[in-house]
Amino acid sequence: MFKANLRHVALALACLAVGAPHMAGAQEDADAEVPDNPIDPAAMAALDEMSASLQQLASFTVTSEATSEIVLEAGQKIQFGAHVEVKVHRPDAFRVVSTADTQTREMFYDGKSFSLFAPKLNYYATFDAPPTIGQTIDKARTEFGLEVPLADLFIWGTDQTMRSRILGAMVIRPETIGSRTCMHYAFRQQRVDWQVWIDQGPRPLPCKLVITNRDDAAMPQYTAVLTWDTTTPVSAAELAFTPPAGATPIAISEVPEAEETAQ
Amino acid sequence: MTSRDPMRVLAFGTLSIALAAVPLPALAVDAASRGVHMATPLPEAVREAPGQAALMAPPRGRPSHGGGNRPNAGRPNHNRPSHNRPSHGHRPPARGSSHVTINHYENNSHHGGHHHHDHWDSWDDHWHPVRTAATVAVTAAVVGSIVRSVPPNCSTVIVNGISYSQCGNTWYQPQYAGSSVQYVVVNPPR
Repeated sequence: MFKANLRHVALALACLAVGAPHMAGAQEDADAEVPDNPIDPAAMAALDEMSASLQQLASFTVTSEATSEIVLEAGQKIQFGAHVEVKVHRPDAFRVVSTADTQTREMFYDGKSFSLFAPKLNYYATFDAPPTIGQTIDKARTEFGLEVPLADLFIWGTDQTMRSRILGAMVIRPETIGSRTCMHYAFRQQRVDWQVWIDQGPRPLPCKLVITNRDDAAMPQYTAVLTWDTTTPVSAAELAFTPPAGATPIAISEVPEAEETAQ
Repeated sequence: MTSRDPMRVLAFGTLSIALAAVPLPALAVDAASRGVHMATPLPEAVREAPGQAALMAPPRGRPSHGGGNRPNAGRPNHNRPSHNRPSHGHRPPARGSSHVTINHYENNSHHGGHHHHDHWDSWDDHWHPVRTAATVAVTAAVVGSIVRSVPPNCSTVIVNGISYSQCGNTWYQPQYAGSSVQYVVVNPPR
């Protein structure tokens, strides 16, 4: 009895501590329990589920109709479309082909090296790559300033830091994308807002991705609607890069820390 | 969570989307009032990247093979009026672009688009527009300067296993900077 009474007192004190500053009803007290948490755990859980689902795929093909935007100096945004095809054979091979009127590039990784090929120009460059897809994508970005389109799809679930960068997470609502019903989530990072729509079917894979660059006041966006093929096997061999006849190797410049002369 | 939370979440979501769709109403009005038409020729723009700017010395130079006219013959995309390039006013330079991944900046300390070699920044493989129309003027190519494209009548020459683009007396060495190809003016290798 005594113990129970003590517990009641403690509870009452706790309630007072929470409720006192507001001097408000129980309804608002309940809200105050999650006062300013901008991260909805449900959104994070959905992200984890999607990551796990992505990691379960031994190989896959994703095709995407993507749009990107360039911001002119006056703030006007110009949008371009591209078709992106991503083929992955875990753990150590991928091919990403981005086809656009503005620029067409093919990127290959075979567990040992990364190759970048410009079919129209017929130039390719190769650098030694780490043993995993995640490390390779990181090296491409940090050492060569090279962004692999839709790279997030490869590394969700393996890059533990992705979770920690999220400053805000919201569940929006279920939405229809083509024939799919996908739950819409919105996330906020320091310099980037992004949204993902996750398939509510048996496999929680991303249906759509929107990335908003907040560095620029015009907030240019990248949008990609994703179509998945998880059944057709992708072999490492079909992802290999063989320079076409007439293609010439050229250098790829490393990201300069300071001034760099390119000779 | 209370029963009120979903509504609050929805309200925030709607606001966020509205902002994303029309980030700056003033800009939207501005663009509309100018009656900008999106048909060809496209506005001229290049990446506005401090890191790259450092590489480009001079960034707006367009060294030539000594001629000055830039015939389009032999270029795959000859329907583009590159010999009739609109003035600067019609081809404003770009200052930034969208990102293709969500952790574009997160793993490094480069700010403001340093080494901003985005996949999407180039407007074309064969004819990278330069910043200003001042490039129509041709001067001797300075060794070490970097351009985004070479004149159309250059030929690819391989010397000691290295690819060059030879344009008259001027030799360029192509290289990737991010996903873009740029050309460094070099001393003749032979």
